[in-house]
Amino acid sequence: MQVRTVAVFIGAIMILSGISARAHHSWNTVFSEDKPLVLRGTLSKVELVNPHGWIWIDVKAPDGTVTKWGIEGGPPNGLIRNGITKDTLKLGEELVVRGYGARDGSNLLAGVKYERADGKEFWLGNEGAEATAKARGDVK
Amino acid sequence: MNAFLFAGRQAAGVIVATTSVVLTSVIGIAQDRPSPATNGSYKVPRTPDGQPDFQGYWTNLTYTPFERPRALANKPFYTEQEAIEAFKKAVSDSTDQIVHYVNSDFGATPVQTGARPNRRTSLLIDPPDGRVPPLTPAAEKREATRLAAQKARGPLAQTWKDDRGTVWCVFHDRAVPSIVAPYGSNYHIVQSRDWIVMTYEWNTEHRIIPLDGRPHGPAAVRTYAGDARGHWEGDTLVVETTNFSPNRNFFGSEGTFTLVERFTRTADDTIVHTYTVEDASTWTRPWTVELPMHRINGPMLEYACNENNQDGFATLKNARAQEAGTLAPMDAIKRGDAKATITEREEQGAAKVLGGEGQDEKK
Amino acid sequence: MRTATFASIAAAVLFVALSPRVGESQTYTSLRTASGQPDVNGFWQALNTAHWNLEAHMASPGPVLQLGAAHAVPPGQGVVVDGPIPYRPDALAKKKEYAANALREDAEIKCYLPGVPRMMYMPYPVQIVQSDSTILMMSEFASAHRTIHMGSKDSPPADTWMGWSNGRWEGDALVIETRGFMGGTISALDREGAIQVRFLDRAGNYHTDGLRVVERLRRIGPDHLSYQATIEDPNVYTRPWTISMPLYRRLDANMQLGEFKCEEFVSDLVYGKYQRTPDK
Repeated sequence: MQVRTVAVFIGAIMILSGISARAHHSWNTVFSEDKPLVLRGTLSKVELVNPHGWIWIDVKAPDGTVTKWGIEGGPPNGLIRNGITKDTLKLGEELVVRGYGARDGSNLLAGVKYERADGKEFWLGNEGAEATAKARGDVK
Repeated sequence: MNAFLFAGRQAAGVIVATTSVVLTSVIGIAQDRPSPATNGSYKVPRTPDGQPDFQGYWTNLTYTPFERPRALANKPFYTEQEAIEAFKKAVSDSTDQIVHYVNSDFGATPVQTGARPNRRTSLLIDPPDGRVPPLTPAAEKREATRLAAQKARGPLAQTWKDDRGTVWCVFHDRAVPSIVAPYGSNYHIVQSRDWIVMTYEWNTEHRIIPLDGRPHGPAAVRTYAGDARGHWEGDTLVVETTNFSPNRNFFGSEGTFTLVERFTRTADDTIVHTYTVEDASTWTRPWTVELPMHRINGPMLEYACNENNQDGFATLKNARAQEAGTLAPMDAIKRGDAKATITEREEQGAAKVLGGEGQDEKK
Repeated sequence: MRTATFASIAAAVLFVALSPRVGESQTYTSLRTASGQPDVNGFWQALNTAHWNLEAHMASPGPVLQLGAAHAVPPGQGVVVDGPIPYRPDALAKKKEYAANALREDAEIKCYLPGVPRMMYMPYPVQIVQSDSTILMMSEFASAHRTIHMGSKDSPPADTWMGWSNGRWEGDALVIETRGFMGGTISALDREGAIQVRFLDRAGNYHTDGLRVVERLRRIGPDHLSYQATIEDPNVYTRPWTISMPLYRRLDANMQLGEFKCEEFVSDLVYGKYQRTPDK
């Protein structure tokens, strides 16, 4: 009983530059680049888990109906190492999330950019991280 | 502020536990202590057992390509200035990407996730042209057959084995031999006297390496992570790994390669990790990779891949729906204007807006 | 969701610490590591039926008829020190429901991470690798991995399946406090992959994300550990309760953990409905 082998041979070539647009699942089997979306809503649930964090926001339509949207993000491990945790986000706060919708039309978004209501990016503004970033300008 | 203190505490040195009762004891020495430092002037710190200390959290994240671009075939090294420029360009190229699942998830910058400039122009350092050597004729035929079968199956996932993410939930092959991931390319190293454990962040793959000189396990037992055996040569840790599973395909070798790694700590915040892979039935010669590992802050939380694998379901469900004609085909080919970033699309009015001001009236 | 306080667990732990336990040697002096800590390195495994049912139980048929005696439930005297397990009445009703649907609700079936303390008494070896700042406990089952942060009082930055563990030495005993557990799978997950609560054994004894655990581990002989775990989850139980058992050293020559990536063996079960051809 042989598992059909993953095409690591080809996959390795894809990650030559260290930047891959499709790092784990085949992105476009789940979400669609033809469905760019901007969601504005209030934060209702945080599932800050590895490997995929999920946040849920309530999006209000003009007629007042509220729809729940689940936003899939990357792994929070990197953020956690910079001191950002599940408690950093405040339930009820307003968010703007830009991303791509699900192919099958369900209320799920692959999140790309995250902003607080005042325009500041979601998770940044951490002094420890900035100091680390400056220190890493040196060459090894 | 809290976050800064948190990061500082994680970077603190080794915590030594104290006991309230002093006991006499006999501690057996399983192997000879390694000889004094041989790596230049750097005096490597030692564990309580006297071994070079590799413990902590380390990243091999880099923007250096795995294989050397052909244009740089005769240029194995950048100057310092060139290296910094190449790094800066890679960092700026990786922000505001088209899709997600890259370093900037949730807003973390690539530098925050640990990447640094590197004077080498490729991670692969031998053969001298910095590229994987040619396959043997037998391996070429094998690969051609495999790729033809893959093509014949078509682009739609038939079983979970066609979904790379789900396969990685079984074993994440970038853990060993080390292949850099675009983020989360990190190891947590813990040492006791007789074992060194290197846990890779993706899928929490733990490489558990004995240092007690035991022989390799039985040839009949082959594993995804291989059978690793470690020993000290001076202050360098040498790990030899064999018995890889035939279910693995590493650059054309179906688990029949051997891996020899060397880890040397050259600074407080740097381990140099080189590895050589050899498989005469697959590659016309062995080849060698060098990966600097740089210290990062902890912790490293578990990567519970299998447990919340929503994408695995979606990939298969959508494949079936596409076959049944109830879902439009994947848009991989019809990119059109898909080079635009998500911000550009919003500015062009291509993105639908839901909720708050400026939302689209009709759905 | 209510969560336990360590103060209430500490009281329960003290009660158990003062109670005599079968098989304990009062005079054993533990071997030490080079830095002077009691040495708990090695391969340890429970030899009881706790993984079937933490409470005392008779033999009974297993959940799959075709597996016959090979997967029937053997009898056990139970490992709960201060039982019966003190369920809230509403939670006890849920337990019975979960137990009746164990094949769907038990994370073990899907090769999900077993959590704590379950990992410690599953029928697989657990390897402990000990350093001053970190103790790793690794199970052969599903490559489950616990990182014990020694001397730490940090809070869990995110919830995990294996929890966040802070450890310290109290004399010769390793005391570990663990919390920050995932209570089940995420909201977006398909039903075939979803589990609602975390089982502590195959009998449906369960916990939620309100779980806190305090463990005590101590060498009582060259090849034996004594292991206690006090479990508190106010969503399920009316008070903390404690399990106790020996753990036995695996003395096999060249002992190492095998690679048991059971995810591979259950993926057809979990995704089968959406696949075109099952694995052969």
